[in-house]
Amino acid sequence: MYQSILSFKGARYLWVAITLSVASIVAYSWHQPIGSPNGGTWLGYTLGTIGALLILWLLFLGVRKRSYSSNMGTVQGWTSAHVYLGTALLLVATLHGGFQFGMNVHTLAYVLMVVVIVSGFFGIFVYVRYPNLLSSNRAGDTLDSLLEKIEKVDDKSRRAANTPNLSQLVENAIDGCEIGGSWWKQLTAKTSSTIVVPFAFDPDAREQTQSNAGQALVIDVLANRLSQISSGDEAGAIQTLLANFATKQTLLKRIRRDIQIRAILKIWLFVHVPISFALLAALITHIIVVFLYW
Amino acid sequence: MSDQKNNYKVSLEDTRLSKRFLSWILFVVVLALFLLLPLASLVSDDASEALRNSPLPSDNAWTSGHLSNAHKIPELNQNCQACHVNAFEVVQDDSCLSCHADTNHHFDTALHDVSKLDGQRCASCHIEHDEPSNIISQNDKLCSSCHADMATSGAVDTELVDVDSFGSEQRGKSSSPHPNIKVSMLVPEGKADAMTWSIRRVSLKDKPKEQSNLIFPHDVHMNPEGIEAPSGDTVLACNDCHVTDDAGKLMQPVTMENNCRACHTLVFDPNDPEREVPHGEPDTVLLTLEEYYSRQFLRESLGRAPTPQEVREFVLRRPGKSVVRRAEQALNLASPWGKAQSVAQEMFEKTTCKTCHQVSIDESGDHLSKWRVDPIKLTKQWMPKHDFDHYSHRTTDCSLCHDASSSEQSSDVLMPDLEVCEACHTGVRTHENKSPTSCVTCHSFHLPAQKGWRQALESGSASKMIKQLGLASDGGIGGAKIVSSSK
Repeated sequence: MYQSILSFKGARYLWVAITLSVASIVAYSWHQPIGSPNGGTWLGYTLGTIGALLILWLLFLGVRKRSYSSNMGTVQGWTSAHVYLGTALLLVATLHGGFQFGMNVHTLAYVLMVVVIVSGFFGIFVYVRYPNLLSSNRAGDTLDSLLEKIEKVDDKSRRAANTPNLSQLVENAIDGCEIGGSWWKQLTAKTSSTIVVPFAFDPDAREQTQSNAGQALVIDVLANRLSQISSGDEAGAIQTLLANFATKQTLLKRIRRDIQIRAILKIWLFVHVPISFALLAALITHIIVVFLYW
Repeated sequence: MSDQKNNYKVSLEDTRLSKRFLSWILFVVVLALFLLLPLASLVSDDASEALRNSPLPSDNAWTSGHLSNAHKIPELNQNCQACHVNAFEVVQDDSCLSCHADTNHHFDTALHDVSKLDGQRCASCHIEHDEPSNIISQNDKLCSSCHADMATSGAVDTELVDVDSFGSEQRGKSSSPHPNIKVSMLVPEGKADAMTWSIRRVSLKDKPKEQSNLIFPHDVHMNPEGIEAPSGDTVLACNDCHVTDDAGKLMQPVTMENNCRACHTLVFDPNDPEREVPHGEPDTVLLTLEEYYSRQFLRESLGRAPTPQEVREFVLRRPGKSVVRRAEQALNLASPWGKAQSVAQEMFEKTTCKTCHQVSIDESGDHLSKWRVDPIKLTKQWMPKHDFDHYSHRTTDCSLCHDASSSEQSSDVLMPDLEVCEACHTGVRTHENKSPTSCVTCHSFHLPAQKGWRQALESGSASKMIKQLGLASDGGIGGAKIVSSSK
């Protein structure tokens, strides 16, 4: 889908955007206003009107994509136009202001617009790059199926634990296992899994909650226990548990990566959309104010 | 299974991040901070003052650019409403004229009907809040939009020719290149004592001759080997005679007392180099000579000053004195008159006066002196409509513009013509080797000789109204003679 946005109908909107950009550049080069180029010349007003209408239309994508019954063109076409005309807006707005910037509400609107557009560029970048990474990480699985596998391996571990202490250890590890979390944890693929190690396995830990990031501690505890006992049922159980937690470790890593990729695919929208509304407020202010103090 | 998934936050939608919440917050904050809050400035001066003294945005945040340097004063820079008087209304001329009351118009609005200026405001040309500042626009289009085609601009009976460009580079390409420079020449009429002058603007293309009545060869004075002076041979520099005014802009007038007399003394008796005739009326000169030689005669013939008795005897004819004796005395006394006359003839016709002055002889006997000297009138300002400034050209050699060293006649006009200006200046803004120069570098829009801006517009609109009513204006200069007729 990501490719079809950019090349929608032979990149029709790319050509619309190029035409608009070239026309703006030609007009700007040809126009010789009395003062420096600025938003108050006839060309400035023209480019400003085009830019303001573009911003309103670009914002309207948020409405259009929610109107499933709309027959005003496909969402795919809208998104394609959104990308190309949004890029052209950067040029139109810059020429509108004649490269004059300052500490004022007008430049605030411009800066907010640039942030929105640049975050949009990041969005296109991740849409092009990350879906491949997502599918190669999933390797035929889905997040649900990965979570099911975790549950199954957890069940196997519960059944394999044949002593009360082992059962306690396994249960504590499963209880303390964390998947996902805050937006920051999702984006950084950090895990905050914890474990309370039963007294029998590690008296020094005094049953305090410890980090079990990457299931490292539970595996460490099991391996230690295995080195202390030579044979018997418990040793067999521990070997099964070691294999299970290693499997779980790999599954968790893939889940974290899956969550991370999907977070990256969406996080830019948390900049793009709210700053768009800040831009809308600044644009309204800009337009009112330039005529208020004409 | 799905229950377990629901326990985990595995997508951004599961977190506390909310696009909708953030969007609302930012929308409201921006609108409140940058639109609603500064609006307080429109409501009350106190609120405006309080806002400006706080870190919060005031209506200063609405500025579209810095004020020009000339307007960066507390009364304006911290007070938007000084100029932006009414909301949603462009800045009116009244705001500008409240300070710039003495701004003059460009032409006589009663005479010329330049419709291109209709509806133009001060701010149409003087653009504020522009960066870089354009408060005094250097855009030549402002001028050429009328001056490129004076016939259609609305100018009536103007001597001004069409101009659409400046610079030697444009000369071949342009249909209306900048014309040769015109100078204001003084034209004498009448002779000697009854001489009057009128001013006539003449193009340097027509090789005008100055008629100042002065005899002065620049080449002799500029001799690089020097010129004879009381203190020996002296090499003169231009600024020995030509000195700028205090502003450094124009040259001060050259005068006999300040510039010539150090060399050109008015000594008439080689045996008495301390005595000079006054530089003034020929009668006064002759009188001085007569007085001088009378005194000398008396000293020589009597060996002393005459006694009062002797003077009285000569002056008061008393009966009983011999006629012969009185005739003898008269002849003796005529001698100093003769001496004075011969010295005066030498000075007026051959040496001292004749060196610099046109001298004629008037035998009518109306004056004590029969020698009459044509008065000298040197041009003080060759280009009164021009903003030329010597000071800004002070680093260049005078001879670059004024070819004085080869000038033999005082009638030579040493003003440089356009090609001299164009050697360094051009209207081509992108020129690399010449100084890009706009119209207003040399010419002014607001002309001191014209009426005030407001006054001119009012008289202009009156004349337009008369025209629109089908009435005629006689086009009297200054618009003072607008009369209606029953045409």
